[in-house]
Amino acid sequence: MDAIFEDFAAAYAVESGYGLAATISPVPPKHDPARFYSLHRSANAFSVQTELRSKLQYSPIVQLDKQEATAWLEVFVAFHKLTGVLLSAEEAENAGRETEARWGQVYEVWKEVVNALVKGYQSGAFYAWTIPCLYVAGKYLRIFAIKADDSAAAQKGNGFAYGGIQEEDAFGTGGKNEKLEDAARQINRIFGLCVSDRAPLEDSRKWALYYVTNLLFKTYFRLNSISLSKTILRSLAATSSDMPTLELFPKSHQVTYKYYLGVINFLEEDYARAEEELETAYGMCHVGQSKNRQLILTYLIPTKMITKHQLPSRGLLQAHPALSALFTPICTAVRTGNIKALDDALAIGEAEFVKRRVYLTLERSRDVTIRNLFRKVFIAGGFMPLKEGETTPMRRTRIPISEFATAMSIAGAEVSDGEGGIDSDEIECAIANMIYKGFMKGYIAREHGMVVLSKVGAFPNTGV
Amino acid sequence: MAYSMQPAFTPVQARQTLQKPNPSQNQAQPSAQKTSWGQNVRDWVQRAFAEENAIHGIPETEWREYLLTFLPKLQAAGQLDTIDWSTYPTPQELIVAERQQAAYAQSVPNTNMNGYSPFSLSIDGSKKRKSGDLEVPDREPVTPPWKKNKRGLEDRITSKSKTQEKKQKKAKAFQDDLAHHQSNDALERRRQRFGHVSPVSSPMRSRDDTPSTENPTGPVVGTCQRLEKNYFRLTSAPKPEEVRPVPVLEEMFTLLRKKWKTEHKYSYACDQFKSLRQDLTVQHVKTDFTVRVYEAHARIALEIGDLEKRMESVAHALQVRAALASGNFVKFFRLFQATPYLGAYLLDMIVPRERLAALSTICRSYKPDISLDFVVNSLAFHGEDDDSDAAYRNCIQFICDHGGEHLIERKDDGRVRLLTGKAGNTFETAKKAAFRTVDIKGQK
Repeated sequence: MDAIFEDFAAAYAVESGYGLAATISPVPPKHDPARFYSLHRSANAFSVQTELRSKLQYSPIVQLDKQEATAWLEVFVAFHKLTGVLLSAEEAENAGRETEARWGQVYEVWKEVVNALVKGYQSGAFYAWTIPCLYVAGKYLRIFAIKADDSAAAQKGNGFAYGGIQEEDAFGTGGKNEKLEDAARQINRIFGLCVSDRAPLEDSRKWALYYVTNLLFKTYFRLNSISLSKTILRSLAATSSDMPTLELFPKSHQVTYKYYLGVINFLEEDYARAEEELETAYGMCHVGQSKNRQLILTYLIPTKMITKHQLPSRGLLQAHPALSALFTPICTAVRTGNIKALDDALAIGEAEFVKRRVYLTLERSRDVTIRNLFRKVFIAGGFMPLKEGETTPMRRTRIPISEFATAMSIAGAEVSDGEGGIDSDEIECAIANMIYKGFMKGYIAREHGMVVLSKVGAFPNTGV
Repeated sequence: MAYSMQPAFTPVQARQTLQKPNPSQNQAQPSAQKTSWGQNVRDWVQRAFAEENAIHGIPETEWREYLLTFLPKLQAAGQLDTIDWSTYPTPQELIVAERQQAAYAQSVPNTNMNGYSPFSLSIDGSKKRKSGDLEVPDREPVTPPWKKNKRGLEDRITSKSKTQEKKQKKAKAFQDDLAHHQSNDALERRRQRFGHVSPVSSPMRSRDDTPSTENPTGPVVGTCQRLEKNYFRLTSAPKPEEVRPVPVLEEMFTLLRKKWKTEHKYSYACDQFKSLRQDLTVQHVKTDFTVRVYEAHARIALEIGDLEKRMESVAHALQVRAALASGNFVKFFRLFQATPYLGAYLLDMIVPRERLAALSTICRSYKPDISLDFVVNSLAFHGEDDDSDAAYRNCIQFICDHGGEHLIERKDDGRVRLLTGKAGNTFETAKKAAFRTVDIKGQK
């Protein structure tokens, strides 16, 4: 009790939002790992009221007015209750009795802490510099919700939840993310609390907006309801005129925000915009934050394969072994025009790619792979004999379709006609797509079974 | 859909004669009438005249008329001596039985039992029954009022002229009777398989089993207290002692779901769900509970599903997706033509715009022109019944509909070409418009 209050008073005296937020963090400070035990033992639900009230209201250091003191008192009373349930849940888990850890209850009590906080802001009792408390509130709403849902799912799997017949539980997947969905609603409330603040910018809760937005994105992504992120983006856009510009926010908020913005655009297949946001995020991301850089690259690499037909350098992949494992097989296949290897790489990595939502984008690298293969056909075709007056030899630009067919067959594309031959319709279709998408310049003369390629720049941006 | 107003069983006609009725018998009638009847037959007719055997609503004239056709026919079939006339139902009783039979046929125009598709009226089915109803299909001396009714109803259902109907009936009379014979045998075997005691050999007796006092299509009030019950497709009116009332059904529903969770036996669950649903239907229970039962059944069916069928469809759907993603229109249209089950209807929605996309690609990449054959085949244009001209017409129509009429040209040698070199952005524009209307992510 005393320790927490001392920290509170110290942070309050210098108006340190983060310091204040640390006092209600459900993770004890490193220098005082047993803090929650002593807090829990030192007071019961009743005594904590009286003891804290006198401290908050009459402390010579902080000198809170009555309204603010009452608001904080509510927060800390709830927090005291939380330490109780949190400690027993952690104890059960540490003792290997996971099924007895009541994370659902922890989530509910943490929600009481959050509600007390929100109430304090709503009534105007708390200053804007204290908003890091809201960060902590939102962050652990999400964490406890995930824990609660996980343990609920585990108990269901063990057959513990089968006591009574609950309506539809056996058949549906409903309720799988019950708490997390609730958490999303609570964080959204916090977002509303900040976005609606009419105070002047110097003392506005709007400074919490990007942190809370990022938290919402993170939650929505996990819930697989990414479309909800658009709603948030719209509310942000609506308030942008009386809001500090993004550059004024902490860099960490900016990087995360740009990252999510990039990913959202990536998923909507607006790759140009995605590339822009992700590159900004990558450029701003702290070099030491290897994990975050890796996350950004997970989307930036496939994006660049689409927008610029650019593969990541070997050096870049080597710096991130996880990314290398993920992308190297595909990059090699694309580089060498090996269609079979590409299909295999996509099949092997499918689960991971789908999980990271990059499968559909990587699939598109097929076009570049075929382009690289056809380019090889073109180059292997060699040059035409020099005609009179010509000084530089011309490449052979009239290429039989059968040569492309042979190449695709060698590269392992599935183009057999089922009777031991090659399905020339599919080959033509592949060539037609190459021409249509601008990978190749020329046309198909079907009656002659020929592809006639442009004398100049038959494969744009590839040097031939 | 589950709430059809039809009874949940298939009425099965007991066979009336051992031999198929022969139209020539009717011509022998006048002479047959002169023959003298045996004493037992005369006693039976005597019984009909006895006052205690009179049945309200059946005037003497009616059953006497009935006798006039009934007896000669039996005689012609040589059955007079095979019948135990001392216990045989009186003509009045026979008429009552026939009326009930007719009422069944009338109220059950189709034979589906779960009420799955109340709209799929099986016209043939009802006719088969009818030909069974009428002992002498081609010759009805008097048309009783209920038969008139019945005809009226059928007319409304089939909207066929009477002459048409008669023609068909004649043609089918023989076939129907054969089919009837076979299906009756099969039904009998089936009944025995399910442990039902075969009804007494006298067909008339089995009719007496049917509840005659109440409307046979009305709701049954179940009295059965057993929880589990194997499903049996009803072939006669449900017996109250075999039908479970709602509280029992609710208990069973709970048990069934518990069992499903723990044991996961699909065949058992499916069987029990079907009997559950049947008991609900015959009692005309249409409450939230009914919905829950149907939903639960549908869900476990989905969970387990006809996995093979689903796998086939899923594999196909994945191939379609892959073809679309890579712009492989050749493959897409081949898959479209080989779509299993009803998937083609789904694909129908996107086929027009995919055709536009393919046309855009083709026009951009093939020069200077291309034979229309190629377009018809690659883009899976087809006509009814493989009419290749219709496929052509459809293809040309499609191209014209999207502003490409100037691109179709008949060459001197008679071949029709699509002038891809002159297409410009014709199809590109149409494609963009088409993709805008069906805004699906990933199809930009």
